[in-house]
Amino acid sequence: MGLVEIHDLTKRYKELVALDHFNLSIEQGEIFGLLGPNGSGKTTAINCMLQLLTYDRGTIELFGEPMSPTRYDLKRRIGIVPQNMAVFETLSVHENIDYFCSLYVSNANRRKALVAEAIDFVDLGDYRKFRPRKLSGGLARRLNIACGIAHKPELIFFDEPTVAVDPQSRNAILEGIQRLNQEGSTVLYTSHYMEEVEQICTRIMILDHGQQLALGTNSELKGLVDIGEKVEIELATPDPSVVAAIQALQHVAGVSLEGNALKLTCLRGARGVGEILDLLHSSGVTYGRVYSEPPTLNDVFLAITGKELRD
Amino acid sequence: MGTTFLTTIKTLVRQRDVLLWAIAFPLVLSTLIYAMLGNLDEAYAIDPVDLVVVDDATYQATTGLPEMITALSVEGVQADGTALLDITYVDSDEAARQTLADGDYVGFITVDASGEPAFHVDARYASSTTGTRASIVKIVLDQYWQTASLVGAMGQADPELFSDPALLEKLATEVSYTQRTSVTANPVSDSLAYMYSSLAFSVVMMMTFALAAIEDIQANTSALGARRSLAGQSKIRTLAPAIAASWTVGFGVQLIGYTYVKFAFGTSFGGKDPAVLLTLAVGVLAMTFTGAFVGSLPIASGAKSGITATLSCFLSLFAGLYGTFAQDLAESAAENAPLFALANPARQVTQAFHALYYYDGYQQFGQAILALLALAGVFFVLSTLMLRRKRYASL
Repeated sequence: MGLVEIHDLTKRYKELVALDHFNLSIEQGEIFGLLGPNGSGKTTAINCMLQLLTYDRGTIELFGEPMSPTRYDLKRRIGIVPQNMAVFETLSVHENIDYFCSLYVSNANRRKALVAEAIDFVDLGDYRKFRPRKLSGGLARRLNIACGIAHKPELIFFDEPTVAVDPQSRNAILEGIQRLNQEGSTVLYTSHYMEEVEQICTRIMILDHGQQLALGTNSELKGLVDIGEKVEIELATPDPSVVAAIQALQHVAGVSLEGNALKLTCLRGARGVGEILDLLHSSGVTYGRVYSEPPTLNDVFLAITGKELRD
Repeated sequence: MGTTFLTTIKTLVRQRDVLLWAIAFPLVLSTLIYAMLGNLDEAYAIDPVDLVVVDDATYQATTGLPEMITALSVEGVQADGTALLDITYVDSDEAARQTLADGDYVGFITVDASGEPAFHVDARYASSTTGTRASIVKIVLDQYWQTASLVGAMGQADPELFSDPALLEKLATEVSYTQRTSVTANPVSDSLAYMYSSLAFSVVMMMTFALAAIEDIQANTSALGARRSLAGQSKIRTLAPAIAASWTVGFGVQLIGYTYVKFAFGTSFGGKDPAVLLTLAVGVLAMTFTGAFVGSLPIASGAKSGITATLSCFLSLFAGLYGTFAQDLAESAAENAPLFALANPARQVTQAFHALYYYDGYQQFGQAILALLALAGVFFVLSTLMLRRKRYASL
């Protein structure tokens, strides 16, 4: 029995099916990634799990027990970091964290220690008296996180916590989530940034139109598509004639010429970019830099849905 | 719940625009009223008229006149009476004219050889706009001359009449057949009525705080509301302290207004200050729950602010707080739609203040307070029914 068990969850917004017979199982200690484009049903799934939204059918169990709107005992074991900033603009950093912690922990002395710990965790010690509007986007996101994790929940929902955050803050947030996980929290992480999900999640579900498209570890998902590597070669002069020759190679799945950039996808197997470079050399085509990268979750999404993840 | 209470107070108090407006409104309104109407009571009060009297032999020989003038003057008035005249005595007409030229007097009185008094009005007090004070002297002399003529005529007709002591007593004392009495235990102040209205007006504005506090709770109005709704607390544990905090801030604002009106302007509530404070407390309670009800409506946040502003004006209009026209409208509505009047918290607040102003007893006041408490209860139930909702079809 997983920490989170959802069976056959269906949620409709009038004619729109937001979650379509959705199933989910998260084991204790996981960082589970829910990856999908905007509108795919990630936030709806979280709000249904937390009983904020009604749903048409399905069952939801958290911590092995059926979830209902009045299961405050279960809710107290959960932390939420919502997608949008959800703090009091008129309260300081410290006051905000203390308030949200008070929704779960009534003992003032215990709360004092927890709030101090949360402030240290997100490294907002220098900003404890600042109000949210005085914080940069990244610092504000950290405050949002501190408000959600101060009470040391066993299960934490991070709903796209890095949206509109600079790379430095994003890395700090991702490292923080990994630390929380190492300290014992199970994490459900939603994002439409595949790199983040790849970086921190132990298992990933790809979601679109409220339906599960794929589920597995990072490598398991990439194993679903027959891509060995993606190659980009900078040609000195564009030569369309080489495109057909390269396309004819058996291990090349696709090739295109975009300006001076020759872009191609190789099938999985022993042969790779070397054979292609030999062909260019023998054809008298001069080339400069060569880039090669393994397949990404975006390729998986593209292979399954026929569209880019960020479409 | 304690943390939610304190947090809500902090958030309300730190919303400077809301708080300043809420505080400034009653202060500005009462200041305007004081500036415009503060001298209303003084306008109806009588200051002794400065008058010169030529105190020569003919004046002293005139029967009753010197006694009457003295009785009406500052020197002769009884301790509980009102002096009409402040007399400066001179010994000749020339001295009287000189005294008028040197000072601010409405005129001077002389008595000619036949014993007939004459009032010489200073030119500055002869016009229609400045002549009120001069007319007081004229009325005094007319009264004297009327009585003296009556006595003279009676003496000529039947001198035996003066042998009746009762008639002599009546002639000496009765100068008017009407008497002014007060129907209230405390003196009525015209400006106090307007101060009560300003307090009632500001009580109605207290809907704003509850609206702001409730909006931060609801999941379908803000991300913050959604976040709070997901926490491990029942709705009532969030709602109750938020309402209590809204009332506390609203009542605090009213206390500031009350203190300002009372001490800055020296307004006397006729010893009914506890009742005034009770009205403010219960009035704010009713308006807090009215605001909570508006805040609980499942409509857009901006629309709720608009509804609150409109509702404040609407309720105030039918409470008669916009002047004579509104008072007539409010009374007409109360006669034709008594339930509507009863359900209007602004009217009940106004009625409570009016009861304190007009009545010595507390029956009408108590009825208004009970109506306000009932309204608070109704809006509490309605808003709780709306806010108890825990799940939404969409956010």
